[in-house]
Amino acid sequence: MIKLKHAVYVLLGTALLYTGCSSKSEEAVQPNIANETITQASLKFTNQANSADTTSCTYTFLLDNNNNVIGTDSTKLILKANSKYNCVVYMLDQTQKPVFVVSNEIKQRENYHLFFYQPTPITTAPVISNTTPYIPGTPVTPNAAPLNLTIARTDLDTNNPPMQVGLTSVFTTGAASSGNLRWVLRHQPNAKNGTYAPGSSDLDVNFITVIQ
Amino acid sequence: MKKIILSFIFFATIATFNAKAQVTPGNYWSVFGGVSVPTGEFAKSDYGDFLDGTINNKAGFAKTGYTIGLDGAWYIHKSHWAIAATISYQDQGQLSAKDAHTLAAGYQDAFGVDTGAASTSNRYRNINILVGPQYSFFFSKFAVDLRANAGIVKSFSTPEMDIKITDADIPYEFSQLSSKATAFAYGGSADLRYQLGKKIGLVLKENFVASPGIAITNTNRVNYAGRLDTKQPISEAQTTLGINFGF
Repeated sequence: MIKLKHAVYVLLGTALLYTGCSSKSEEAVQPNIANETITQASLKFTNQANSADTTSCTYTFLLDNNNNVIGTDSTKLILKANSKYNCVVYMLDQTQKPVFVVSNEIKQRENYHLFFYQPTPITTAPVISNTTPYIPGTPVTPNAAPLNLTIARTDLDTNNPPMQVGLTSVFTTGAASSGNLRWVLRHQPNAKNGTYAPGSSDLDVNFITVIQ
Repeated sequence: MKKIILSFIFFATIATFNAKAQVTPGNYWSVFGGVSVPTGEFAKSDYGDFLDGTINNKAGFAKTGYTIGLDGAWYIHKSHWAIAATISYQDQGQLSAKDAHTLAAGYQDAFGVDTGAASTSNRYRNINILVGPQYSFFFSKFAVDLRANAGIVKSFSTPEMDIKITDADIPYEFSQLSSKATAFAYGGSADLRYQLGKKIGLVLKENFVASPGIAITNTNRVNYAGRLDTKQPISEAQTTLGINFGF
């Protein structure tokens, strides 16, 4: 009986020693897959004071038969002065059949995407925080007539705590003015913190903007 | 499994020629070993689909392994009821290269990045300590024991998963760490004991152990996307063969 017990202890010890030393590492790497393909990006506006008052602006990447970008085209953004507009993002991938609505996928991937909206010219540096959509480093031109436009994102993702996304926002216009609106979509995989810096840009376009 | 059954039959046959012992309610302890098969979420090795919202956070990628341990039962005034206890050690393996590839592809898709890479290390190693009531049926040289258990599972290690996703040449790294956590466990078993001699016998047992989950720590997880396992359920079906000793 005693010998049997000793044998059991040796067996247990050997098994524990074996499993403790047998760890090894496995690794795998996936091939490259590109970011979302955006061939057309639009901002659609509805005047809060009059839902029949709608407008939009669209940026289009012109493609050849092999889906290579051969040019771009953009429409002008025209907004009424001293108004508030609800803004919705609408993005398409027209290389797919049927056409794929990229903005729906951005919504699914909202936890690591963040939109930025930067009117120019500006006469003072914009407030940069986790809850403002402005782009740090935007040149300030104190002597220029500013584009009287402020923007606030209105949607939140499902991170904990939630962070803004920018698929929907409110544009508030002031007095008549003109300039540009820079629109950027940042892709920040496992790095989104509300700021512009992390990640890379999936989209970075400009619209000539007129407030009248 | 086949070897275990054949061994059991072999010993049982020999015993019929040299033993007249009858199994009766009496305290015993046993030492056992056998195969431990992961079940349920613990056994799953799929990532799921991010866009479908079907990501399987709890997939354990555990493998069929082994268990060894000690077992005992103390009968209450020679009735058919006993208080039983088991302590067992399990090894449920580690992630394979295919599993690492599954993780890499899953995180790549979930974060919409250019590349994903996963490296893994460490194994599922844990110890179960379970106690519970046992009821025994006696048939000449045989006894059948039915048992319900509750106790703890103490993890010595779980697989560590180190993920590196890269987008626009910018790397982002995060990890699911190996866990040494302890959690509640429960289960049940049925066994067949065969009396070889007055104080010795063989026992063939089917055992099931489950735990709602041991705590898992993740590092550098900034955004909620992709697989995120914070509590790993464990469930094991075990077939063991042991030698039991009366006392």
